[in-house]
Amino acid sequence: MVMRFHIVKIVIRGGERMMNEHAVEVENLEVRFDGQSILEDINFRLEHPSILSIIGPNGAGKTTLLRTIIGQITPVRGTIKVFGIPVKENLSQIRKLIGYVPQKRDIAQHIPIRVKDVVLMARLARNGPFYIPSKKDIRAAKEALDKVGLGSEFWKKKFTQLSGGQQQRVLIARALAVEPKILILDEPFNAIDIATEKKIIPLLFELRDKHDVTVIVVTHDINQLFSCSDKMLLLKRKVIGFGSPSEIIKRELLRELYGTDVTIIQQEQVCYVVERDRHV
Amino acid sequence: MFEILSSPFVIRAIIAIILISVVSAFAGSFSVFRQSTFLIAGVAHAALGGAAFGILLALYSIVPFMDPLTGALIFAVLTGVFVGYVTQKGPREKIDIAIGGAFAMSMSLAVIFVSMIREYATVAWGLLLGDILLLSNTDILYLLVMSIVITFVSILLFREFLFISFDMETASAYGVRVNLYNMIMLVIISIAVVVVLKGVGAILVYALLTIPPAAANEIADSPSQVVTYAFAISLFSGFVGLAISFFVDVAPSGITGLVVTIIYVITVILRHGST
Repeated sequence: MVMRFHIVKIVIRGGERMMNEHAVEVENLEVRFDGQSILEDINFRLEHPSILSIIGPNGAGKTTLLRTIIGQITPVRGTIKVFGIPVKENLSQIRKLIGYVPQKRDIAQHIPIRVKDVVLMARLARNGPFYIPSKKDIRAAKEALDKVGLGSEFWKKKFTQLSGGQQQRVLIARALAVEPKILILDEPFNAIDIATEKKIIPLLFELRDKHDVTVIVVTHDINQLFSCSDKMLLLKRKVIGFGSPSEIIKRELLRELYGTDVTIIQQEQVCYVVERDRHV
Repeated sequence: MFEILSSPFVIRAIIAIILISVVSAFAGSFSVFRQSTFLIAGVAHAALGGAAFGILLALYSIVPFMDPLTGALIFAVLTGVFVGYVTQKGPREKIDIAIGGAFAMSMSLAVIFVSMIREYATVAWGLLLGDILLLSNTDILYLLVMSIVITFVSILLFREFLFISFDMETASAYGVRVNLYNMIMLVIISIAVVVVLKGVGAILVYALLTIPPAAANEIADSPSQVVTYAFAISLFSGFVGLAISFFVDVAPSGITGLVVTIIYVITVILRHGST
């Protein structure tokens, strides 16, 4: 058994953000596979625009929750609303509001595809097979690539020849090219270096503050998003805790989430969490 | 030499090579992108069972107009639909098991049907080796229609096929009808198998459908380049096979198979030499 220590810095923000609508509302959600409960009694409301990080150990149901929000999985009970619109009955409408970034391990690495084709892929798919890309589509895709910090020199490069971090940013650009109101990222920091992580996090702020986008990020690692989340959802098949980082950083909640003790140090506006994450 | 080239069977062979190259380029590339090349081997064997089934139906006047090629086409499409259906329901690794199941069932049926049509069994087994120089006008017309269908659908749905091969989960998240397109893609690949099979036989269909796109995949910079290069490799290899068969008494498909394999080895060396 290996004991690992993380130090996480949390900045507690001053002032209240003006939020007058809910990007996502989840009520009494229950999801089952093969008779086994994967998610139960999930309730939360997320204001718009904001950054939500969903945190939990492997197998906690994080990806299942995301896939249920985007309508890929039908819950056995409960409702999900996106901007007040029930997902189940309005899937095509909901999908126009959401940009989705999957786990990078699900992406085929054997197809010699160019960056421009990847970035345009989702935007064009929405318009069906007969659609011919317009100048507006190309402009939106180039702007999206620019937003993630990859310049025009990447436009014609082969996706498979990029580094893991660059590939991740291209996948984010693909989601941004659809001009979403909600951006959903599934484990975006897996298998990327710290330098890329440091480029992605300010982008999430920028999306919220300048582009009015709500960002939902799933991660299994507690140390990545504490400093930038407006809300955190601790998930372990059910909601262990939901609230602002300062509300969530409670030793008993984190112990329940990870099954191990944590130490929390607070100094004025800044918290440090010394967390012992157990890996067998 | 001109006399040979202008003889009807050679003209038909040249047309067949062009059609085979087109379908191999599209369907073969999709099978490489979708990592479902085993489907080609499965469908080739299913087509043999279908051919025997077609002969059986015609022989006993159950369906008098039925011929081996139609039987092969029906079995091929059914295999594609079956594999598409199973992959909708289960995880990705089930695709090979589904193909294996269709493979086993259709070969069993082939053996049963062939044993029931003893005196015509050579027609069904003839599909094992195929012969591009023995195609009739009807065969060419058949291949032409199937090639047009494959080309039209492939061009129309190229973007969708690429999206689901690259990242099926995200395609689904954006409302792409992944199950439908996956099914259409597998059926297109299955029809292509029958086109190629008629020209080169069941034994070499796998090589001719998968190796040119696999070689192209090594050196291309984009999916459309994969299709273009695969077409060029198939066409070149097909013509080399045909030309050599004029001078040496060997089956053209065998030479074609050797040429595509050599090209593949060269592309792999080129790729690894450059990285």
